[in-house]
Amino acid sequence: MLRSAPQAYWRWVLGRIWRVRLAPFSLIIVLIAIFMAIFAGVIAPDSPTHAELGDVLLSPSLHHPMGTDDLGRDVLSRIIYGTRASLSAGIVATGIGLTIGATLGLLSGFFLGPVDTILMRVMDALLAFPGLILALAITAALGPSLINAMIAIGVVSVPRFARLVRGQVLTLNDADYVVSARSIGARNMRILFRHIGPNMLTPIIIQVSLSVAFAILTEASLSFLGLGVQPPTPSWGFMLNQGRDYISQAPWLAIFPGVTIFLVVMAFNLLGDAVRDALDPRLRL
Amino acid sequence: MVAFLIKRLLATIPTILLVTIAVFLILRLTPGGPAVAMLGDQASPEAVAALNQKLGLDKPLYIQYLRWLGNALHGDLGRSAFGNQPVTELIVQRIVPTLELSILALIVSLLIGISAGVIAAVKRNTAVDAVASILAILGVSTPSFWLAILLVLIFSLKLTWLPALGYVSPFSNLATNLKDMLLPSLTLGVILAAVITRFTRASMLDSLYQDYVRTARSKGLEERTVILRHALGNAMIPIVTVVGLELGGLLSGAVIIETIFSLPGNGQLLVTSIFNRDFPVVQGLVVVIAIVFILVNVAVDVVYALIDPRIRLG
Repeated sequence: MLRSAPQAYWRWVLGRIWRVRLAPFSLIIVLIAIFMAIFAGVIAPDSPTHAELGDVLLSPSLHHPMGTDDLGRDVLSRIIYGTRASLSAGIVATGIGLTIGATLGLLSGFFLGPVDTILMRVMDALLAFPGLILALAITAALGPSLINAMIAIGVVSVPRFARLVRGQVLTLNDADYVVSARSIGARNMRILFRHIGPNMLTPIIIQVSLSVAFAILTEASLSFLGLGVQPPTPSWGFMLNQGRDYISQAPWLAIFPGVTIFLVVMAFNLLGDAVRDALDPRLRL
Repeated sequence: MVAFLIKRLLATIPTILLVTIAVFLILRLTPGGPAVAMLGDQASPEAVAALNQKLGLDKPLYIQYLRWLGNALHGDLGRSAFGNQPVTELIVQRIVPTLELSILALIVSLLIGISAGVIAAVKRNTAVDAVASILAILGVSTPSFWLAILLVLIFSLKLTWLPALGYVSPFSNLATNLKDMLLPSLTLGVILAAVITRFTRASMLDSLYQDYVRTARSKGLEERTVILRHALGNAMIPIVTVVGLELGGLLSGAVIIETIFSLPGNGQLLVTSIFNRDFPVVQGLVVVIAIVFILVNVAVDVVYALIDPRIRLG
């Protein structure tokens, strides 16, 4: 009976999210993006790097539904393969931010005192940078590449998760069930992972979804500036940068990657909003 | 008021110091060190050693930092590794386009965001509200560089109403300058307006159902006065906070927009310096941007305290 309680809770959560306006739409887009990233090799009609100099800047047609670029490469195939860079940036960067941020937030909120003061000062300093500027500084040091962009965006996300988790720990630390657990002699680790941890999942899930959207957008921005994914590996941001040069002759080069970034980022943003609306109506905007 | 301001400014000193340490350390993460990054992997050890000596990179880290900090406190942020120009001079030379872009974009975002948010809240649950809310969601997820390209495609290439790029200083020709700045500030402003719309709507909805609004209505005041003076006046407090937070987006967005529209501002300087691996410029610029961000947030706190008499100053 006890074991099935979390499952029932998650079923209830999913049911509520599904009923939020636009949530099914965003969930479908996210699933399509994941499918495209995993099965790019199967569903892409062409190789993303195969240049066909006789097919340069072809407008959309049945053979090339999104046209071809300045080297005659199929834009649709490049967008499908580009999902890999964008989604992996979103997931890895958020993973870095969540793992480091949540650990620091837990330590800070639970132990308080000097640990809290020092950690939160450092987090404040990192929050004092506009997100993209900090990511640019880190990329400047590490050099342009997808991995370095992921690290940079991950570091930018750390203070947001740390602040969130710390706030949750501070609130939950005084909850009746935590006070009760402590009074019957439960150890710190048990209180943290058995009682406090599971109860702050909702705000963390919301932040994860918004953070993936931020990471995908920032990776696209870095790649657009030439500081993320390096050619010939396809990435949506860099494709847009190339498309800019041919905007009057071949507008599809900029339009399709832009629509793709927009749809995926919007889907993750909406999903974050949907989780919040479903689980915490007080925060609804 | 002055005491409040001084207290807030003093509180920023540790953060600013940590920011300078963070930037300093981040740029020393470079594999092989900054000198190797600037000269390339093929550089001879002698050339690397000479550049290290020139930039003071052969000294222990804490000495390098303290020396840099001491100079920075006197307004000296070092010299560009290419061309030897002082970093401070480079930043000051390019301040006008960045400042102009930021101010114009902020004005655009406030005009669009606050009006759309107020209308959406007043016309709650109507088609107008739905359109404003959908546009706000679209705005939050639209990459600024994509919107810029689309606006250039429509207004510069198809309609030929506005220039696609170029910049004339406002001091030499204000009319041409404003024409040049219209597309860049519109792009950045529209993106920022999305968040302001969402917060204004939420804040207005909260405010519209408060007792003071009911009292104002029962006194027989015009609906316009009730909404603009009583409801919006009180709804402005959370909106000001969000505008403060959005300034980070403004500074980040400026980097991309300046690059796309070839505006000779600090954002473009940052990107060029990263490509040239000109670390002294990158370091100086990132620190200056972070300090501006911190100080603007102090200013936002002051405005916040001024418009909300419930917040005690001191």
